Amino acid sequence: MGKLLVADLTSRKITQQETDPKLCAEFIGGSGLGAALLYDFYFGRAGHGGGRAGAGAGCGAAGVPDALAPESPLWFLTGPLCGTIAPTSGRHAVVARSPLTGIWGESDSGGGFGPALKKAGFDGVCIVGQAERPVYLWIHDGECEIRDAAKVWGRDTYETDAALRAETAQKAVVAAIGPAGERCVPMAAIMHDGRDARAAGRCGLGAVMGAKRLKAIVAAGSARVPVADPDALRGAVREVAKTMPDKNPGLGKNGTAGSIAGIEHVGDLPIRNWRDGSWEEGAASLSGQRMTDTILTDRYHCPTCPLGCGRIVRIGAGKYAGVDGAGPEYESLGTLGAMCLVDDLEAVTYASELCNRLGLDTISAGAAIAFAMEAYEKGLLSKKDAGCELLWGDAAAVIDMVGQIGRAEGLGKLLGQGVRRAAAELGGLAPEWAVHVKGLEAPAHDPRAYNSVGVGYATSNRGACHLQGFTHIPERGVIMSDFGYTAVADRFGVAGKGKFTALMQDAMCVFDAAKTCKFALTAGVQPSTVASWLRCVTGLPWDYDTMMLAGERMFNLKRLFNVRLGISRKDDVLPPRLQLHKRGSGGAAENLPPLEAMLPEYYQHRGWSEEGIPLRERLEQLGLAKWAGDLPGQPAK
Amino acid sequence: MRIRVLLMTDEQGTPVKTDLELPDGATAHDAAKKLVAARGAGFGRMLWGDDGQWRVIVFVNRKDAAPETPLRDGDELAFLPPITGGAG
Repeated sequence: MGKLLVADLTSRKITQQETDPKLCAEFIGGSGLGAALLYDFYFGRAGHGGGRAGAGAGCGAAGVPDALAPESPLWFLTGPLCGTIAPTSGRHAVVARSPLTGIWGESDSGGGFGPALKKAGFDGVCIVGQAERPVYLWIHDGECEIRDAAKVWGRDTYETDAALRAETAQKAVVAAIGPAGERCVPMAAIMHDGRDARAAGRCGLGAVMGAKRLKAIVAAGSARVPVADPDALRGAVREVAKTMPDKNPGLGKNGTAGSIAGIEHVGDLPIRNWRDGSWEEGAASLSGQRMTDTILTDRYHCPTCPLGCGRIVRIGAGKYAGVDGAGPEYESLGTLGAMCLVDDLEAVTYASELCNRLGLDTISAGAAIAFAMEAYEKGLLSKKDAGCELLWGDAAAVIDMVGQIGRAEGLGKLLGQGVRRAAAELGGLAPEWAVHVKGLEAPAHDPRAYNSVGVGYATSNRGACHLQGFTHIPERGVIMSDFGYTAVADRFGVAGKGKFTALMQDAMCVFDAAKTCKFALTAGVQPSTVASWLRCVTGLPWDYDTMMLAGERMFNLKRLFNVRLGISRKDDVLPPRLQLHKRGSGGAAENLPPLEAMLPEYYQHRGWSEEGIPLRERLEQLGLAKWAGDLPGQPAK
Repeated sequence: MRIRVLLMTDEQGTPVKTDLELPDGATAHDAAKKLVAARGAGFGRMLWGDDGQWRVIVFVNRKDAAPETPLRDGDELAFLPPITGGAG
């Protein structure tokens, strides 16, 4: 293990500390380690009463520092695999209390920042406090400087990347916010790698940077990343890496959007704010294949990734000329395109690049615009409110609203707060079509197409999220042999979905902690493969069982974080549109996810009470009893 | 009988539909074998790989199906590769 850097922007004091090996043995790294560090800050490692929430604070947000408060920490964390030769390990996590949801916030990004931070000598960096004037951090070769960022404040993420690399080192990697983060828009993203635009998009963590007046972190270094047994790692990686591209050739060829037609076919693509069942021609127009045939100029591989799902595109002429950099991936096409009924690939590409430049989460932004289009159709918003007509399929309206959200102007100021707050403000029936869980807008996968996704959205610690459970991948053809499965499960089945979702969440916690891309699952990597890499890198005896136990520990600590903030069974729900309204046509025309039938099995497997509170017996098995303190909802001793 | 096949395997550019003539009682597997005969072994590897394991999921009329699912005149058959979809 290496070191952690703590930068207090109020006092301008920078300290370094050794990464705690005991914590790493329990929580691995990445967002798992982040959960331990953040929980310790807010609630104390001895549970209730030790942290900033203060002794005597019960469950609920009262007494807990706000997400945007100067004292609230923002962590960037690598994992043990990051910077090594392990395939797809060039990733890092960003964790903080989310300004969008108010609960546990984590976001994950590919690109070069994680490896650069590691090679600069640090496993992670924590930012607390608030600078008097805009600043950036320049982290290199074991050192960190706080530098003036006045020249780049107000500039977009692509411009900021170029300017700061010119000021520091061309080989440096920049994590930056755009105008959205500067204005503390709660759906602001943290963008990395300039025009290659790798995003820590979800949960609005760009706003946390903005509140601290931290424009960017720039990292570079050349230190060797420690590996306990390099020969064993080379051996473990060699065969896997060689066969990965062949096991999923489509991901490199046509990117994540190469699946959009198939996703539409099975009824998984949200269309017109989740109201329609099928949109075959629209999906074909937005497909990764169409992108390959038209605007694609190159493919982008994150460090050590043999798959290369990233797209580099250029639009040289026409209405959207000037686009030059990262192309939209599936989620961006699903939200800015299908949810808004826009089938013009170049227009959606333009809107996606605008999100990248302004530093906005494309998922939440697209979902908020689709929500607004429905509010406009139903008379809760007017042309005067929006500054334009918000008609389905109107690409110009989508682009206009992205700009308004990113600059916190006009109607965008309200939409940037997320659909939960926007619906509460608009009133009437608006909450009926605000599609979120715990305040996080649902991404472009429909729980009506996969019952397990319903359990996953309802219980994910950061709100509606397809990545925390990732169950739609095994239910569309990736057999999880590690779990003992030998075939693809019935996606509309009920029995077993609770347990399956919990297992996937635990495994994905490990991917998020070790720092491995989840798409590796589609190319032959199983959780036990990651355990073998972890064993080689850390020298610790990781195997499938110990790794899954660690995953369960991490998931439960994030849940405890949320329980401390008042989360319980009442919040483990799906939005009305996904729970009560059938799609009516397409590949999932008649299904509604039977959450009431699946959730008890999930809670039982997890060892949680019927109110969704982790019970002491399981917490003791996970080594979390001391963290939980006097958690409510426990049986009498 | 005549069915329509939606091809979304990786060999394809934009997803395409093609019509296929099959004898009565034919299954999705029979349709796949006829497509492989016409398109070559490379296409076959995308459907079931060198190890004989199916690499795609079968849908008939947008409903979950299996290689042994019998087809009827006018059916729409789809072979879909495992999905992807990102965003952090």
